[in-house]
Order: sequence, then structure tokens, then C-alpha cells
Amino acid sequence: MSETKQVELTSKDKVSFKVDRDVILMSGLVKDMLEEGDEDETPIIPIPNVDSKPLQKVIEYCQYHHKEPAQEIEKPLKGKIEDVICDWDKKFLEIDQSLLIELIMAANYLNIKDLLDLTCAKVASMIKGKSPEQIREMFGIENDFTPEEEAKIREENKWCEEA
Amino acid sequence: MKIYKKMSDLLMFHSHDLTDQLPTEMLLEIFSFLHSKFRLLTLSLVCKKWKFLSLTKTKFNVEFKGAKSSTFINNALFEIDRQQLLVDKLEFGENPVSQATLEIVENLRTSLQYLKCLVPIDELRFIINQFSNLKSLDIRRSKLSDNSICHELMNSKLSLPNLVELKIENEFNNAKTGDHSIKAQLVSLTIDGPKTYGRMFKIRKPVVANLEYPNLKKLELIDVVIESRTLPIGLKSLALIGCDVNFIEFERVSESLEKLEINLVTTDDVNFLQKSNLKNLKKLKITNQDLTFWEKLEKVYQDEWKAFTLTSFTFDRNYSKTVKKLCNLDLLTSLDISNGKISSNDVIDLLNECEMKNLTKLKAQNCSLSQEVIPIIEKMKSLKYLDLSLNSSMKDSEREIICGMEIDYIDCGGKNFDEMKETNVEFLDSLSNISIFEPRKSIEILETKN
Repeated sequence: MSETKQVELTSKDKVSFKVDRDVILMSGLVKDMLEEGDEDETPIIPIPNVDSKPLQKVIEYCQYHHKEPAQEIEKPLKGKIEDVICDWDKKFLEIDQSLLIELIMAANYLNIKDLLDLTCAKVASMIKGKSPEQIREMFGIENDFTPEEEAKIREENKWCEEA
Repeated sequence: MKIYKKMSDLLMFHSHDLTDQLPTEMLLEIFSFLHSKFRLLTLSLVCKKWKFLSLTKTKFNVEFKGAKSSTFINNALFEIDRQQLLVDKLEFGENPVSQATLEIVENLRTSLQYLKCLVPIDELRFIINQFSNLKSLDIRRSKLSDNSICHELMNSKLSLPNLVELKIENEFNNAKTGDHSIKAQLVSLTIDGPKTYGRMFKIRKPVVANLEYPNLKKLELIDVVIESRTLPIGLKSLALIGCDVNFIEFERVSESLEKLEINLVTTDDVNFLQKSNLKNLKKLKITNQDLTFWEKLEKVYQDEWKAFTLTSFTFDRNYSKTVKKLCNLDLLTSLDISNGKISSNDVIDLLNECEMKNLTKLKAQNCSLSQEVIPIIEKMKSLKYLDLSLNSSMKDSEREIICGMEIDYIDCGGKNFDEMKETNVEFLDSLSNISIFEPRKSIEILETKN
């Protein structure tokens, strides 16, 4: 029986991960690189923009979803994200905020659309229904409006509020 | 351009928040999962960067319904103009608007440069041609039917080069066209008969005799008499709603049809299907038809149904032999029997008797179903989407059993829409279509899918 072809990914912090070629082909970036390169036994692909921790999560995602395609997440979200994703994804997203942000960037860099949608929708779901103050607190965003500017924006958007 | 100048200023902000690590495109991607109203009212108040981004790529559909206060409309339009919102669709209701509003809308041309769909009213007829990016125009409610307007619009190829979808009354279809005719650029056309106000006064349906639109893919004919010899060749979607049908040639047209909706007034009209070849048909919707219709349809097709490659079927009245045959088609993945006049016993019989082994979507809203449907659903192993909402006879315990099934999407809510509106705030939040009808003002904002 022939062995499954593998690919070696090297993270920004020089950690290597061996992963089945079929699995990592979910990444548009890796797919393009593999198509360009020679048919090595185990090609080594540097991923200089992604640390080992998010890269490991990305591989975990691809290992599950290359056989179980992710369901499209409708825009805009109609409820909480947990209502529209599978149990595996729910567990996958049980991570802290900084890793979630790193995952978004990794998914974007590696060009994995389903993972990008999932992580962006997760952040959107965290924001949804919150007040501006709560959102600022959640992400540590500084309020750079003066009270007058804030009042002006509220006034400007009144037409939409009345809808 | 003003908008990009602002963007460069914003990139100079140096806050230390978590989301600051994200490139602008990623923040926009996150915002795209949030409703436009939330983006405008909440996200724009978070910080300056978010204020700008919350409006970037945010597309609105704005609808003024029953709005009698021009001041209100004008204020809203002024804000739309000032905020450079991307408005995809601008719709005005049936009430007259003031001269001031007209002037504002005229001035909106620059900020509404991406306007794709316009539903104007009578007073706005003179500005239609000024929205050169317009892709869709719905003028059915605008009462714009004098000859000069009809002629001008149907010959506006130069001023409306992007127009591909048109919804009109038959007077426009009858207008003479020349070198600047828009007929060849249209991909989707709806011709609507006059609306009868009250059943006492029946207005004679207009006769559609000429359908020379060479590139049409989608045709919807509503409340008209069709005397056209044939239909445009290459049509993929055809809807005949409340029509009297008198096609002479249907065979060649039928070959390309992928979607067909039938709601005929006279059962005999079904004969037009006799010479048809629906080998590419994927979606079939038959509504409001009596038993005689189904019997005639049975005669037309007999055993030919077996060769059909239908994937989606919708019907709402009279469970018949033909329905059963259609439901038994191997490729059928979607069945919609909602809100019809089929008895719950017939629905259960149908679901019991037809195998529907590949069905992934079942919609049976408001069919008076209760516990007897549970074992049937349990057998449908391929089901991914189940909508049994508004089946008010269903008990809570039965709903719980259904909600526990391994189906990706289940809706078996039993409340009617009005109750939900009043009691479920979360539900309201999830609505993408918001409208409030007040005697003096009303505006509707709809999310546009990116």
C-alpha cells in the first residue's frame, strides 16, 4: 500500500509540522506553492508569517474539514454563531481572543476561506448586540471621540435609529 | 477620492487594541457578518477607525413606504448623501414626494453612483435615466404609463447601459423600439398586469403579444393574457402567475428551462405543456391549482416524469398521483409544501409513501402537522434542513424531540409572526428587513448581501 504524501510546514518560530498533503491542500497558498515546486518526497514549506500555536490550530482545522466540508455561514449573522456551526467547530473556537485574532490572520495568509469565515464570524458574534462601550472594553479599544463628536454621530444616525 | 484620503488619515491612529493587529480588510470581513443597521448605530460609535470602516462597503437598501412627511424623507436623504453610504436600492412608496425631495434625489446622483436598483414613483420619472449604473428598475407601482415615458425608457440603451433587470407593466412592453432599444440587454423581465382594487371590479387583463427579448434568461408574467407566438429562446426561468396562456410554440423554449413556476387561472391552459421537453428542469413550483389541473398534467406527461431531473419541487394544493411521482424522483433534494391547502393526513400519506431518500431540505410550514410526522422525519437520513414552523397543533414536547434530531437546521417554532414580533427581541434583531409603519413616517432599511 502506498504511503500518504506529506508536507512539512515550518512556522515563524521554526517549529516543524508534518501534515498530509491532501489535508493542507485546503490552503490556497500551500496549494499554489506545491503546484509551482518539484515533486519532492516531503517538501518543506516555510510559513514565515504564522507562529506555531496558530499554525497547529490551522492544521487541526484542515485535518477535520478536508473530509467534512464546512457549511457556509450566512451574512449577516441572524443569531449567535453557535447556532449555525457544527459541534466540532464550536469546540475548535474555544480559544482566547488573542489566538482567535492570530487565527484570522493565519487563515487570511494561508488563504483558507472557510476558516477565515468561521473566525471572522466568531468575532462578529462576540460583537453582536453589544454597546459601543462593551465592545471597547472587550477589545481594549480607546475611545478617541470627544463627547461632542459622539453626540454628533448619534444625531447623524438618528434617521436609521427611527427605522 | 474623499473616502480614500480619509483612509490614509485613519491608518495613522496608534491605539493598542487587539483588533488593531488586524488589517483593515479583515475588520471589514468581520463587519460584513453584522447587520448594516448595527454597523451604523453601534460600530460607528466605537472609535474613529471603526466609524469610518463601519460605513465602508456597507450597502443599504432604503425604502420609504407610506411616508407622508417629506421633512423626514429629506433628512434621511441628506444623511445618506453626507455619509456617502452605498445605497444599492432606493425605493419610494406610493405617496407623493415634494419638490424638495425630488431635488435632493437629483443631487444624490453622485453619492448614489452605485445605485443598482431603483423603485421610483411617478414624480421621479424624469431622473431614472440619470442613474447610469442602474442594473435593476422596478416601475410597476409608479403609474408611469403615458406613451412618451414608455417609449423613452424602452429606448434608453445609451443612458441606461447597465440595465439588465426590468419590472414593468405591459404598456412598456408594447412601446415601439428602435436603434436604442434596451430589449437586447435585458436578462430578467417581469410584466405585471394591473392590480385590481377589490374583487368587485375586475379589470381586463392586458394582452402580451410581443416578447422579443433575445437575451432574456428569466421571464415572469403576472396577471396577463399571453398571446405571444413563442417565448424567448434560451430562457432558463419562467413564471406564469395568474395568467391565461396561449403559446403556440413551447417545445424549443422548454428545452433550456431550469426553473418553472405555474399558477394558471384556466386549467385548460395546461395544454401548452403538451409539446414540451423539460429535460433540464431543476425547479418546479405549482401553486393554487385544482384537481382537474393535476389530472390534465398527468395525461400530458404520463410516464415521462421518470426521465425528469428535478431537484426542487413546491406545491400547495391537492395531493395527486402526479405529485407522488414527482416526489419519488431520485434526484429530488428539496420539497416545499408550506402554507397550502393540503390536509395533514395527505401530507403524512405523501411523506410515508414516497421514499425521498435524497431529500436534504423539507419545508412544511403551517401544515397542521403534529406527532405523526416524527417517525417519518427520523427515517429521512439525508435531511439537513427542516422547517416545520407554524404547525400550531404540535406540542412543545414534540418540538423538543424534533429539535433533538441530527439535522443541521431545524425550525419548528409554533408561534405566528405577530406574536414573535412582540415577544422575541432576539428574533427582531435577526431580521434583515425592518419596517415600521407609522401614520406619518416610515422607512425601511434592508441588508444587502455582499
